[in-house]
Amino acid sequence: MKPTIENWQTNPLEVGPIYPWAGLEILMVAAAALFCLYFLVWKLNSESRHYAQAVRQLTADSLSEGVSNQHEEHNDG
Amino acid sequence: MTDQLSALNVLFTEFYYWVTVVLMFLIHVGFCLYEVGVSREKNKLNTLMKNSMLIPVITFGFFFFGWWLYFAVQNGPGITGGLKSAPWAEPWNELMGPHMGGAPAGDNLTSEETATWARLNGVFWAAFLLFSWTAGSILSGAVIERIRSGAFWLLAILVGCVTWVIDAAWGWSDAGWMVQKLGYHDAYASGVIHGLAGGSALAILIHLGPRLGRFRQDGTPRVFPAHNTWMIIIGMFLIYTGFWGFYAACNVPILDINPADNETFFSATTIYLTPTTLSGITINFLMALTGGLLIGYIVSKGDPFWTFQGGLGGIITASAGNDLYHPIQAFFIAILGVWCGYKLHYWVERRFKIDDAVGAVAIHGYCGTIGVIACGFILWGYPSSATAGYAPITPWGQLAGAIIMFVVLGFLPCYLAAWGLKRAGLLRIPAEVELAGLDHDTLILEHDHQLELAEAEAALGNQSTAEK
Repeated sequence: MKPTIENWQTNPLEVGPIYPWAGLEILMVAAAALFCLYFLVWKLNSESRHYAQAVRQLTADSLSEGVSNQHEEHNDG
Repeated sequence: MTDQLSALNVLFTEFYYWVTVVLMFLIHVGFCLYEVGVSREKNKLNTLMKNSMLIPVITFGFFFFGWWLYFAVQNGPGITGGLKSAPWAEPWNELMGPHMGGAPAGDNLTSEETATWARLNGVFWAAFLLFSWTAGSILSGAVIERIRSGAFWLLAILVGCVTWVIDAAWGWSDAGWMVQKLGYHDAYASGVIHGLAGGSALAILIHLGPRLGRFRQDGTPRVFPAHNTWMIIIGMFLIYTGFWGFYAACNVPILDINPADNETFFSATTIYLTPTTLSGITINFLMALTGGLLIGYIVSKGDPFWTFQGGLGGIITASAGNDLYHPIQAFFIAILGVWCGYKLHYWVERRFKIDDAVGAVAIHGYCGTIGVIACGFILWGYPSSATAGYAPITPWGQLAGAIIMFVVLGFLPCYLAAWGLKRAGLLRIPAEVELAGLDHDTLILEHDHQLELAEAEAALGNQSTAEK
């Protein structure tokens, strides 16, 4: 692909954009927008999965803790 | 850029805004420290990441549509005109990248537009973006320790890239319809950022509910001790410092304020292009801080949290008219705002069981709104703009503006959005996780790593002894 600037020895008043790939801005913006949308959807989904798993884990832990406490109380009794 | 004086003017303006952006970054550092300090030990990492990651999510939203929105909707649209054209702010426009200001490559820009915006678009964009982060951060503190990060980021995009941008277009630009029709004046954003963000935070808190255990069975609130007071205080000092940069960012540093006559007169101006001086606003900033600190100390009986919050609330209250106030006026307006904000905070907490973890609704929402209304009385009759024919500043214009900021653009959109998120089950963290702590899995993992490391070190020690 042809660079946007090939020679700095030009009249600066005629120089506009100096970044590469000038003319492909819409494609670059679309790619970035898709990535950002993906991030938000990924975050909402992964967070829901994470908390569902955490609740299962914490409930199981508290159940087993409760059972072992009852065992201890029973044995002490 | 072809003669030294005009080049110096453009390059100085570019550099001036660049410095303000760097200073304003400290606001975000301060908010992070402050929020993490207020949160409990078991929630600090989640609190940090929730706030830090609003930087990328608001930035991409502001790049894609926020900056364009600021110029496009200044007429309403439909109140003083239609949708405005602002090609330089479109995300795919050549002026969003490095540009020498010469002839435009595309056909949607004029040579004048490229010459004007090539060296200012990026720094203006960044200055407004930093205001957007601040709006998001104000929400962030209020909702800590129980909101899901994903939901918070969606709400932060709504406030940081849409609602605050619309209110800035309407009431914080030299051509906004609120300035033209209502004479709305809010030079350093009492209402456009703080009032709006406070109203937004209140709406979210209603749907979110208090943290578990925050209120006793008889309805009285429990105090959740902050896990690190020093982080809060250092955070507040950094917010003050960044706010100073924000004041400078709200000004235009050099502008000919006498364009109608043949003679020129250069001055700093507000965003409404009305004259002010950096010198004057610096005194007012410090006098408002002083008033806020004093009344915060008095009303809270020396509580460090509310004293420092008072300093911030004092600046926020006086900000609407700090381009024109006498320093003593700024001082007393700050006192009025912080006293009312403090009292309202506890009244709302007890009456409606609203758990605002950092007092954001009080310090930003109530103080900002009171500041906008007070400005209408103190600056009654002043011209709201440099443009002839706009409505002058009045108490009723400011009252209408305060309602638009706090209720119409602040409270209502977030109330609806938070309601939708709640209905979808995406707003609040499950009670089991909240009780265990939002960092519980990270802490377990850290504990496992430490255990593994200790075992490995013990094994290495045994091996070394055996070899000897």
